[in-house]
Amino acid sequence: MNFEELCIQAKEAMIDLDEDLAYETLDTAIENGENLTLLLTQGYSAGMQELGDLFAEEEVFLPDLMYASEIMETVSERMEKNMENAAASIDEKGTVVFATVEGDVHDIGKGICCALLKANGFKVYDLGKDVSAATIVEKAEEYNANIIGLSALLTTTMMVQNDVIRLLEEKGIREKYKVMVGGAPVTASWAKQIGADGYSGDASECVKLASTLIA
Amino acid sequence: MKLWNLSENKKEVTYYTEKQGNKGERKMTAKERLFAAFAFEPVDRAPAYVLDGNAWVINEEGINYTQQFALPDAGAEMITRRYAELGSDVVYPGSSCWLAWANAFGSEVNTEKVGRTIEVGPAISNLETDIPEMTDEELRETLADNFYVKTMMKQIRGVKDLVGEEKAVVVAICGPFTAAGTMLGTGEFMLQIGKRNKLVPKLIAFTTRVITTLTKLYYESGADLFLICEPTSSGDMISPRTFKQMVSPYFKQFMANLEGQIPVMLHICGKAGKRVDEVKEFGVKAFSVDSMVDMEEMLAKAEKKMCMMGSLSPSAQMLQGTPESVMEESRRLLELAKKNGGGLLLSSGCDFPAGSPAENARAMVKAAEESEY
Repeated sequence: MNFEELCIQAKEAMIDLDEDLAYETLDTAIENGENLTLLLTQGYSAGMQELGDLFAEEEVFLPDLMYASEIMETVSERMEKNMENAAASIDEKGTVVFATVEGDVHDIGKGICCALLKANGFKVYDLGKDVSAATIVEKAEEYNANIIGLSALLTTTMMVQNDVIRLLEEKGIREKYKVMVGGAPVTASWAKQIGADGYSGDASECVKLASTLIA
Repeated sequence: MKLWNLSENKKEVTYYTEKQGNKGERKMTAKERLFAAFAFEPVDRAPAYVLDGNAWVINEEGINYTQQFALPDAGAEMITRRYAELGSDVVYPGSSCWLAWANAFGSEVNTEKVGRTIEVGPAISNLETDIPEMTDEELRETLADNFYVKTMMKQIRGVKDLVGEEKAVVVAICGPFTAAGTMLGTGEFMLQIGKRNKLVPKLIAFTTRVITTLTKLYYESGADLFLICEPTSSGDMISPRTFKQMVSPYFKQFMANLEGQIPVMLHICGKAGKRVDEVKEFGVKAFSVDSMVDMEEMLAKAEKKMCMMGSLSPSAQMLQGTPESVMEESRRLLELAKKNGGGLLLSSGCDFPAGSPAENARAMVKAAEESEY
């Protein structure tokens, strides 16, 4: 099987959620000494992007995306073990730190956003759930991020999105970052009210928003 | 203007009104109004319902749930008083613990955060080995012995003692599908559905029995009506196919288990519009939806087989809106209901968020009071 065919197979394995085929394809590519970075971007990530598009069209839903994310993570881990400076070799669009804000333990949507952002060429630091405003800002500085993504799934915690923006202002670094917000109770008007740079209603929109913000 | 007068012993509640029913008849009690609306019978005005304001209650009180549950009446007076302040046609005990029953099966529960909702961790980690095997008697005993379930039963009894037959005592519990997600952790649950794990249905079958038992325990404690919440079955999360395979059969089983004796409403968050055709066959009294759902379309599709409930935006209207904007949106929804010949319980779309001005809830009620449907 040549490299082009491996890329097609990797992409199809992702779209079909065929875990075994995804790993077999990678094993073959490693055996053949193929360029794994290209296989990731042109094969697996391309499949993940297509799943993201299908999610936007309501053809694919959260369970499928979560399974695809798990496959993708395993593929990425195996690849990293087989190539040096893997992360550095990928041409990234920008760096995003993403967190579910303090007091909120819902991280499914945030996880899907992170997976699709990665598949679309962003370097993503997933800070997890229940993360304080201070930690989010500290990590954005540490990782030299371009974008801060803030998820809140509760009306009681969406206020913390505001806290992060206020903290950036207090520190005089608001202009260094684009801040995007999302989550079930979050609306475009809320984003505007707190001075966020953008709002997205789902993971697919999140990728488009991040791409726009970074342009 | 309406006033609630809680007597000193907290046992008697008197309902006053200065405004007579629109048709000059005896003013309906809030409970009568709600159940008449369910039956598409004449009502003096549209029912108005504050959906899940318990985080709002403890935020207003400046306490956490640990403190509320430690009160002699487990917070019954506090909840009744605060809901009266909002003017709601229902009082809503127990909703803070809509997931905390999972503690009976090993979930960690965090009730310590002031003004915040309760956090509930997973109860099981392995579908092969961890799904509990229990008889119905053991299941009932396990639930009835749990601290959170016992506290909610006490809270429900206390609220029922206070409001009697004046207002409907509504209790929220998650539905079987969401309960299965709570047991396993929602993320892991979604992942296992994605992997087509054949044990997922076994878990949902178990939680169907759990939710049935819990509903019966709370009904016996004084609840008039249940709001079964299935946020995990939202159109934002699962496909119509998964809904058909993993939500509908178990919800129908749950309803069958109640044998038509206990009135139930269903709430689905987010994109719930595509669920309406199936939900209207469940036998629920009302289907509660969020603000992004087209209420005009929902009322038509419900075909008077059930009422619709909603759908003022919790964040844009209740939290950030003004009494004027809430009135305007309420009037719009009520006008849709009028055209439909009733069938709407006016309500916030998903909850009444902590920090929302009480005036906004009262504006919603005022719009209902002025309605003529």
